[in-house]
Amino acid sequence: MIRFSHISKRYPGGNDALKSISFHLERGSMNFLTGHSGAGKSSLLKLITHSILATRGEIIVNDQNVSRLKKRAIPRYRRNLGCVFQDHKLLYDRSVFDNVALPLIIAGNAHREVGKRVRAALDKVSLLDKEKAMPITLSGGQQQRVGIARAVVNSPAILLADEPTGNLDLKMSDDIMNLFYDFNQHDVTVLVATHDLRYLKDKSTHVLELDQGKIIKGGTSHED
Amino acid sequence: MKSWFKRHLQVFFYTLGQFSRNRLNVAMTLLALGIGFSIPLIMYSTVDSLSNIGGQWQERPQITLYLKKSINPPQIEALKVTLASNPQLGDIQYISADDGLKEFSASHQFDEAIALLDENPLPPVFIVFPLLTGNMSDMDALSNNLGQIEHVASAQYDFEWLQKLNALTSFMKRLVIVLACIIAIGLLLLITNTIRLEISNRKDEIDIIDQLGGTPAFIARPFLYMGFLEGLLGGATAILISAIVLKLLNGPLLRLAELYGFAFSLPLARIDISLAVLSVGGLLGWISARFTVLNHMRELAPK
Repeated sequence: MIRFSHISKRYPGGNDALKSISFHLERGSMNFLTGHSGAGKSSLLKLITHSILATRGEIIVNDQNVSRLKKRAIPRYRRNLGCVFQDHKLLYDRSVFDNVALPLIIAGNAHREVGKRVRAALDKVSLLDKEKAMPITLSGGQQQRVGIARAVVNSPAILLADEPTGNLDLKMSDDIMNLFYDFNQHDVTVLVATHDLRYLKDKSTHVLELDQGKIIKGGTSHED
Repeated sequence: MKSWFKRHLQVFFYTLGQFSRNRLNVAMTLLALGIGFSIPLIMYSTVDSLSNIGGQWQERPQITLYLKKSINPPQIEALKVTLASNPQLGDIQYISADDGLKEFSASHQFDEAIALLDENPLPPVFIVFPLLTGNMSDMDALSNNLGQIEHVASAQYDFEWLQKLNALTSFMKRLVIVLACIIAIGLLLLITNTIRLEISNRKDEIDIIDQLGGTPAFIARPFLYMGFLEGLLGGATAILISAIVLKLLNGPLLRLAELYGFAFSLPLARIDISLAVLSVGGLLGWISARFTVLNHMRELAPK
């Protein structure tokens, strides 16, 4: 589903975030991405969403060559990815319903369809009763669940999460993580960046570990 | 097609909603735009009306021959023949003293004052229309010659001030165009600035929508509507302001025009000019919004 081949990323100024790494995440797999701060986790996720460009190498996502995406094709490509952020990135001037509806509005879905799918997504994260609330009135865990509902509302094939439990207590973290497992059961390819060691012990998941821009577990680092 | 229309309608009402949430800011922007637009608009309305008077009269310059009051009907007939035989003159029009008085009282409503007079103070008059056009000195010479004819008390022509007015109005028209261009640039910058401010206020929203797969057109649309509506409503404000100003000017102007013998007032808002102002306003707003948004979009491209 996601294949990196010899990917390097050098930021302007000479900082090497990723140094020639290769890995493959299978369709429908559950994956964790871990490593210290600055190891390159965020850069890796941003490469998948095509928010930054690789300096070298090739990225194939869902049979599409991401590095060769035409400018016009970027929006459609991104609609197939669900993204969850550590800081939620919600719009605080509109209701929970409107936040979750945003990807559907962007994709130009019909009005009736929007209501149905938003409620289904909110139901999945157990926030159906909060659809009219403003995000600012919700707890951190609830806001994160709104973010997850938004990420899955248009049924993307891939779900990416950057430290989704970073600011949450243990109980809330478990709730969130269980949601990701749940989506994975429905054939969604999930990649969660985290440094919460509790989840990394799970034998059924694939763990990618980065250290200073190199893969030390779950993939290959090349010496070229 | 239907959903396209629906989406635009959505953004349109969303933008109106944004306006009503930022009432004070929007009102100040619209007022600034309105004042800016109204200056060339007021000047144009005034100059256009003035040049219309000049235009009407300039096509037929006329010389008025005031006759001596002692003149008798056969002499008038003889004079008419003399004038008709003058190759430099076209139409000739005779206004007797009585007709002159009637016309005067009809157009100036001086009935009561005139009733007090013992006798008609007005002389009989010939109005002649020279065939020559333009040349001031020819006109002078002709008018002098006509003034020398027997039984003619004096000859006056009202061409000179009209020519001056005409020169003045064409200068003013040019001035209005130049001024309008300068002000348009200023307004362009003003709208650009409000859009830039709006973009930086909604930077997070833009980033999120970009991340969620919003097309550049989708991201730009609310800002384009905002610019367009600002320009349009700014134009409407300008029409309102200029109507108020012209209404205030009309009273004194009417008295001034009366002194020159015209019934003259400024139309408060002409449909064609108003439509032009609205479309120019909307277009200017849209252009500046588009320019600003596209400029910002470049920052969103992956690096």
